[in-house]
Amino acid sequence: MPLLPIKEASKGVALAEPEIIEETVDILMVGGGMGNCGAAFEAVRWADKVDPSLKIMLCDKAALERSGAVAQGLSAINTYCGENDPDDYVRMVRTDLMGIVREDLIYDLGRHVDDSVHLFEEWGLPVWVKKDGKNLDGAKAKAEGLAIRNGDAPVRSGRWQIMINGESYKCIVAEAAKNSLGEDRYVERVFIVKMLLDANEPNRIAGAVGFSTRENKVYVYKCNAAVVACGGAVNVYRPRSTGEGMGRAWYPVWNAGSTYTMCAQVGAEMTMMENRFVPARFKDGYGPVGAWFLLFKAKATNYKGEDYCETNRAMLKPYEDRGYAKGHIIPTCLRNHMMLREMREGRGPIFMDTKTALLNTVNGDLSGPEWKHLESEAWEDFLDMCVGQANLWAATNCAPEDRGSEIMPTEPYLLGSHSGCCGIWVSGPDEAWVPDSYKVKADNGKVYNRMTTVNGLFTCADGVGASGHKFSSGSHAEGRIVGKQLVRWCVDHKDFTPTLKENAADLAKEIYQPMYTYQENKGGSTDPVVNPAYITPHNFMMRLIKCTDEYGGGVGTLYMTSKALLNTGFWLLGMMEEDSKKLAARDLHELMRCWEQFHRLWTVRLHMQHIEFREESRYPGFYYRGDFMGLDDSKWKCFCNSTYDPATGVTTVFKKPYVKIIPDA
Amino acid sequence: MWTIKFRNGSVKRFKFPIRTTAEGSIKPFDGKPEPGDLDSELLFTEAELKSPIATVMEEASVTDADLKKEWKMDDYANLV
Repeated sequence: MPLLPIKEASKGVALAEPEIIEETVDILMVGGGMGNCGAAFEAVRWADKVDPSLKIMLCDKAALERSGAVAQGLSAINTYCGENDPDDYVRMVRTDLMGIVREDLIYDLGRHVDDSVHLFEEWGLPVWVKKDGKNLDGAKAKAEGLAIRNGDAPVRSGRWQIMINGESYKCIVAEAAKNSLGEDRYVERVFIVKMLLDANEPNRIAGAVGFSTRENKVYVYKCNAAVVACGGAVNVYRPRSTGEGMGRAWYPVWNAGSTYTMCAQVGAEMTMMENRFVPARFKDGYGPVGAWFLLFKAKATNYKGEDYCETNRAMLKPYEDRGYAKGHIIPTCLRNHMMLREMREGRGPIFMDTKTALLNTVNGDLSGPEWKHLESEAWEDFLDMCVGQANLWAATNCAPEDRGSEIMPTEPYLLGSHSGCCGIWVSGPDEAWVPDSYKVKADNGKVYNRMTTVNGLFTCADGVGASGHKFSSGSHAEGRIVGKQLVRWCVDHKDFTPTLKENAADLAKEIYQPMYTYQENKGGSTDPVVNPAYITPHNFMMRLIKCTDEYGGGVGTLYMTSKALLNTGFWLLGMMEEDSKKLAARDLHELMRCWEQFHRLWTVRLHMQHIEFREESRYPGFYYRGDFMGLDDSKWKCFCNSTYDPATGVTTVFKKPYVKIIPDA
Repeated sequence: MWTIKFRNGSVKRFKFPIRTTAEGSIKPFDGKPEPGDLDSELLFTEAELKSPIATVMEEASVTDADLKKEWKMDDYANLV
């Protein structure tokens, strides 16, 4: 006789009353991606010099070697200034992100980023080198004694991008971070879920709490300074992937908005949370298009073979007339804007013309060694960073020299390091060229670069808002900036003793609440996933992404929303807030999933609140306010920021002035 | 070595370098300069700090600069 589903053995590690582990450190690093790998590398070096007694701990929800957005690898480094001035880097980012960015943060990143890239190459990342007009892969370049850190020319796919053999990119960067820290200063498989404020000093970070995803252990940390860098937010909107394909997403599915939620909940000021990124990528496999557009010079065309960026050129005029989309850069959102018109008006599918691009590159000769080399480069682009797309091409008999491949704008993602800029408001560097309004004064009157508005709390990479286009290298460089500041903070606050408001046992009960909810109610139904008293994390996420998709400008409405639609969404989210208290976990894996849903709900609600506040369509192609379709500089050439007051539970969204620092070219 | 087999049976093989140093061999601080001034913006490997070639410092003026919106959890139930 078949067993009732409730009697099935749990698939994950069984839940039990957790052991509580309490630890006090000076510097706590939450997240193990590119950002905090940079922070660890830099902080250890400074701590060794100024105060070797400083205790450092890095917590990663996964394993450092393959965690973060670079986990699967990359085929290019998208930010390498080289011969370019950081001033021009600022101009590029400002143009792409429709004018409202923190130019101090972007400039600061641009002047440090190359040093990180040179370190990667030194550590063993194969970086392509141009020699006599030919591309040498990273291994051949090394064999010939060539290296970009010694002044040899990288292979540029675009003005800012360089080609790498990046399958093991994250493994290499993580190894450097681990070897800097040593075995005792990082823990893996520990998911920090809440930051904790100090009991005595207002607006002061004092610790964090989380749990192991492998054992029944709750970790309560006290700290003097913390950096939160655990990526952006994925699966906050209904993905295009369904059924067997669900789980395939452009950005890593484990990024649940934890960075934004944890910082916002302790009162950190947020910025540009209305911004999002909708990447146009190879359909279904989410394969990268950068190398195809930039390196192979492929065109994207409608079903008639027309370059829709040419045929729709007039759509750019209203933006050009207002000073946007100037120079050689068409902002990413406006490229989507033109593609969406083609799709709406039935001129899809949109294809990347891979065939013409490849044939042009080898003058139509598919028999020589040049073709073999080119074919290899084309496939490596996927195999280094998006194996699933190579799989999809093989499964659909799609050889790029035979036929083009469809591209399509994906579901929205929230992030601060790619071509998006939502995140947390942080201090710029303490230098004369940085406006005072961009400096956050700490409790001691000093300015700490990349500190949030909460004393002692820092962020980097996807966490820092209004400063996109960092990518992998910039995230690492920004982490290094933070690493140094964390040490400086601890030296300046040597006498601080963190005191938590909460006691550890209560925190453990709160974290394990989904287990108690399940235990108390599991008898209420015969199927463990349907129950009148609780909701599973999977079903909660499905409910959430249906709401955001339909009311918050997801793919279902081709990114269209309005005040009325948003209000209906908020009404549903209000009930989901209630439902979130009934999230239930059968095992440790589901406990992790529950906490990811708490974080998703908070982050995407804040995203929609910011969209509601900004009454214009600043990023057409990423989202539209149907009730305010234009771009309105007279009212909205400013940041939209917000704060949550942990004492009153009120979220306030407000305007913050934008300052143009770098002149137009 | 990657092997890719197509639906139609055709097979492609590719091999790419993945790193140029032995696994586990990274010594992050060997041969690196000593850190300098903790209060400067220089990272420990750097000797020179750039600043912008030119600045304009233009604050954009907007109407309703003091516009604010407050959200409380109780608000949501009354929106529809």
